[in-house]
Amino acid sequence: MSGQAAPLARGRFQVSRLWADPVNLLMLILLVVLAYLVLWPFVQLVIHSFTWAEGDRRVSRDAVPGAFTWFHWLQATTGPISGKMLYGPLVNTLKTGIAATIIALLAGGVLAWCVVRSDMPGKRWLQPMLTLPYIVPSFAIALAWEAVFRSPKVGGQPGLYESFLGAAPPEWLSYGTVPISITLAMHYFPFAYLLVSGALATIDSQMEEGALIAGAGRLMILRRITFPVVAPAFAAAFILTFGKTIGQFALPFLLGAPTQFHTVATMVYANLALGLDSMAFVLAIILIAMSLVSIWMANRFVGKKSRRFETISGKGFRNRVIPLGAWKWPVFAGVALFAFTVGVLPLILLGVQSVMLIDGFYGLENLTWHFWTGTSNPDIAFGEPGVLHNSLILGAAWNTIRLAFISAVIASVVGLVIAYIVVRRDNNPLARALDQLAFIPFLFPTIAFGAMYLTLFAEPVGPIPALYGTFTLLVLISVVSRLPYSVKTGMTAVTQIGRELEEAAEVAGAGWGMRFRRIVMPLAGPGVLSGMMVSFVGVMRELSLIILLITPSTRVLMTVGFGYAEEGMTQLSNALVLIVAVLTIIGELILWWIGKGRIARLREKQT
Amino acid sequence: MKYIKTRTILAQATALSLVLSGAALADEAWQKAAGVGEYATQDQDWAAIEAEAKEEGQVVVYSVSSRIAKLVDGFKEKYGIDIVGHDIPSDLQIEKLRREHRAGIYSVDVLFNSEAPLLLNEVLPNGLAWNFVPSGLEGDLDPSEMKPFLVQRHSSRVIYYNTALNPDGPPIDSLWDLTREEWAGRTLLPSPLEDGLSANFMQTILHNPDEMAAAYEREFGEPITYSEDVMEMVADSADIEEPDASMEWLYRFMNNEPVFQGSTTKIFRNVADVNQDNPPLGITTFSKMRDNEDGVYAAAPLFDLDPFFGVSYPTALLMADMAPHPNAAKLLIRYMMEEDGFAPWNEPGDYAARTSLEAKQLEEFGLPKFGDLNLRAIDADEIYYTKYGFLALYLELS
Repeated sequence: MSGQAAPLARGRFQVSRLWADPVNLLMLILLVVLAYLVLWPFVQLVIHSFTWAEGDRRVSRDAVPGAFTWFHWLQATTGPISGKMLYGPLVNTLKTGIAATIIALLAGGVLAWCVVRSDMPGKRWLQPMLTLPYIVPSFAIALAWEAVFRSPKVGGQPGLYESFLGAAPPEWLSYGTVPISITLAMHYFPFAYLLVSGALATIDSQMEEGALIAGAGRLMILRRITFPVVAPAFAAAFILTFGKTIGQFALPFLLGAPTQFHTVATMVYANLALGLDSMAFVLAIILIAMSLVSIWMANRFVGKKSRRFETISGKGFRNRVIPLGAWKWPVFAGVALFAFTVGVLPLILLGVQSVMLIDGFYGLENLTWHFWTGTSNPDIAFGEPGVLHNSLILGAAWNTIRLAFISAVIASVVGLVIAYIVVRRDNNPLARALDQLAFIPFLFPTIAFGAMYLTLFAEPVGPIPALYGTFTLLVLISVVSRLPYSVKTGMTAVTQIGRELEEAAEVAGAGWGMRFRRIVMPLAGPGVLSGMMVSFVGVMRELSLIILLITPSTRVLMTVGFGYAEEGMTQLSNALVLIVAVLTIIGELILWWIGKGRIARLREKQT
Repeated sequence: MKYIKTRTILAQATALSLVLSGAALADEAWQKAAGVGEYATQDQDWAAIEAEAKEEGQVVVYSVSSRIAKLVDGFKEKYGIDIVGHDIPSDLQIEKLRREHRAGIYSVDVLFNSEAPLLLNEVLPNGLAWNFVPSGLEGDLDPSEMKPFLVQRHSSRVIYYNTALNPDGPPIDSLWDLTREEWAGRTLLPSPLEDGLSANFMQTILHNPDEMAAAYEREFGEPITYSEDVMEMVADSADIEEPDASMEWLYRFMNNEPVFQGSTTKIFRNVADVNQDNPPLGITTFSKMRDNEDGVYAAAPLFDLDPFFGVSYPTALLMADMAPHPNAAKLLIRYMMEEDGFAPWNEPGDYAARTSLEAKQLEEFGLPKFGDLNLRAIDADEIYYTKYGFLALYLELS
C-alpha cells in the first residue's frame, strides 16, 4: 500500500460510513418530513392568500378560481372594510394579548416568589392547585365568567353577580377587552409561574447574603441579583403567553362575539365560516407575523438587558427561604384565595350549573342529574340524552383519549430522536437546521396552524393522500404542534446522558438502534415521560388548533362541548368541560405514576 | 436541467389530468347508476329502490336541523335502514362538501339545507349535489318547489317578544322601532358574520328599500332623511350610487348596539324567559314557538310588524354527488316528504311545502296560511351576488 492510497481509502470509508450511519439517514428523513409538515404548509398558505378561491365568485365577479390576485391583501389592508376586517381586530388582539400577558407575568412572578423564596406555609398543596387553570380547557373559564357576569342585555336568567348584588354588572365587565384579558391571564399565568419558579430556585442564597454583607439594600438585591437571574424566564414566559393568547379562538369568541368584539383569531374563523378562505389566510399570515415580532422583541430585550448567569456552581448551594414574619399568614391567605378562585371555583361553578334543570335558576327544586345520567327526554335539551348515555359524547371521549395518547407518545419519541441528533451531531449544520425546523411550529398561532393544514391536506399530492376529515390529520397536527416542546424536553434529557455509555456499548458491538433503545430511551425516560404528560394534557384540551379540521366523524370532547356552548345548551357543555378536566387530571396522575415507577425501578437497579 | 424540469411538470400534469378524467368518468358512472342529472327517469321503481336501499343498509345526512335525530327509530322500523345524521349549519355543510370532494372523500348521501343562494349558485352548477324529486308529488307542490331543487318546508326568521312581561301586546309595531333609543342594546340576533341566514335576513331588508322608506314615514310621520355617515359611505363607495332607506335602517340598527348570540334557541330563551325585568327582542327562527313552556318561557312572534313580518327561506332536500348509498338516499328523501317523515318539523312556524300537509298544519295550529303571512322570501341569486357588497356595507355601517 503506498502512502498516497491510505488517506484516499479512509476518505472513501468515511463517505460510506456517513451513509451507513443510521443517525444521518434518520436526520435526512426527518428533515424532509418536517420541511413538508412545517414549511410547506406555510408556503401553501401564502400562495393561497394570493389566489382566487372557489367561494370568491361571491366576492367579486372578476374572480377566476385558481388565478393570481392581489385582491385579498388589498381588501384586508386598504379596502373600505379593512378597518373592521383587520385593523380593529388587530388592535383588539394587541390590547387583550398585552394586557393578559402583563397580568399573567405579574401574577405568575409574585406567586413564584411566594412559593419558592418565602417561608409561606401550605406550599405542598398550593403548588399543584396553581397549575390547575392551565389543565382546565380555556373556554371553561369563559363559560364560568359568563355564568357570573352575564349581562342583562342578553336577556334570560340573570348571572350570579346580578342575582346576589341586585344590580347588573357593568357592560365592560361582561364582554370585551377586560373579561377576555382577565380570563386569558387566568388560563396562561401558570407558564410564568412555572418558568419563574424554576429560575428563582437556582438563586443561591449566598449571592444575596454576599450582597447584604457588601451593604446592598433589599431593593438593590432585587434589582441587581434577583431580577437579572429571572429576566430570561420572564422573557420566555412573555413569548409563550403572548404567542398563545393571540392564537386563542374560543375564549375571545365566547366573551367578545355578543358585542361584536373581534380579534384576528375570531375573524379567521368567521371568514372561513363565510367561505372566504383567502381572506382568512391573509389574517392567519398576519397573526404569524405578530407572533414573530413579539419573539424578536423579547429576544432583543433579553439579549441587551441581561447576560446569562451561571448560578449553579461547583461549590455548595444553599437556598434559604426569606422569612415573611408577621406577613406569613396573610400572604398564605392571599395565595390560597387566588389559587381557589382561578383553579377550583370555575370548576365548582360549572359543576353546579351542569345539574340545574333550567340554566341560571338557583333553587333546590331545579336540581337534576338529567344532563349526566338521563336518557333522551324530548322536553329537555331537544331530547339530547345526558352525557353518560350520549353516544355522540362517548364517541368523542374515545376520540379525545386516543388522540391525546397517540399524539403524546409519537411527539415524545420523535422529539427524543430529534433531540438526540441535535445534541450528538451538534457540529453538523443539518442537525442545527433540524433543530430550528422543529421549533417553527411554536411560531404559528394555533388557529393559523389549523388553517394551514386545512389547505395542505385538502387534496391528494403525489403519494400523499388527502387527509381532510381524517383522524390521521388530527394526530399529525397535534404531533407537529407539540414538537417544539418535546424536542426541548428531549434535549435536556439527552444532554445529561454521558457519551461514554454509548461508546462503551458501541465497542461491545451494539448497533445504533440497540443503543438508542437500551441506553438513551431508558435514561431519558423520566424526563421524556414528564414531557409526554404535558403533551397529553395539551392535546386533550386543545380547541383552537383543531376546530377548523374537525368533521362529524372525528369529533373530540372539546369541539362537542364548544358546539353545545354555542347552542346555548349550557349544562351539557359544562358537563363536557368537567369530563375533559377530570380526564386530563387522571391522565396526569397515570403518567406521573408510571414515571414514578420507572424511576423507582432505576434506583433499584442502581443499588 | 431545464429539460428534466419540463418533463417532470408535463408528467405531473398528465398524471393530474388522468386522475381528473378518471374522477369525471367515475362521477358519470355514478350518475347513471343513481339515476340523477341526465339519467333521471320519470318512472321510479320504488320496489327496486327499496330493495337496493336495504342492501346499502344506511344513509348519511348533513342536516341543518338537529331534529333529524327523531327520524332514526321510525325509519329503522319501517325500512331497516340506519340514518346517520350530522347536525351541521347550511353554509358549513357546503364548505364541508366542497372540501370533501376536492379530497376525493364521498361519505354523505343527503343534504338537508336552507342556504338556497349557495345551492343555486355553487352546489348545483358544480355538480356537488343533484335534485331528486320522488314520484307522486306533482300537484301537491308548486313547480318552483320541485325545480331547481326539492323543497320540504318553508321556515322564517322573525322577531319575538316576551308575552309574559308584555301583557298588553307587542311592545313595537315597526322594524324602525328597533332603531329607537329605548331599544338600544336590547335586540338579540345571530351575527351576520357567523350565521348565513342572519346575513340573508339583513340582505332581504336591503333588497326592499321602498317598503322600508314607506314604513319610516308611517313610523315617524315624515319622509326619510339620511345620516351623515350613510351619505359619506355612499360618496366613498364605487358601487353604491345613492343612499336608500334600508341602508339607513341598517346603519341605525347596527349603531343601536344589537347583541349577538350564537344560537337561535339561546335567543328565543333569553327573550322568552319569564324571570327577568326588562326582556329584549330577538330575531330568531319562527318555529321556536314550540319551546314555550308554562311558567318558564313565554314569547310570541310580532306578526303585524311594519313593513313586513319577517324573511322566509326554503329548506331543500338534495342528493349528494357520488353518494355511497344512493337508493337509501332516495328512500329517505321520499320519507321526509311524507307525513311520518315530516313529523319532527310539523311545528307551528314551519310550513310544509306540500299543500296537503300544510292544510293539516293549519287545522292543528290555528295559524294563518303561509301565503297569507306578510313574509318576504329571500331572493337566492340577488343574495348570492350581493353577498360581498353586503359584507362591505355591513362592516362599514356597523
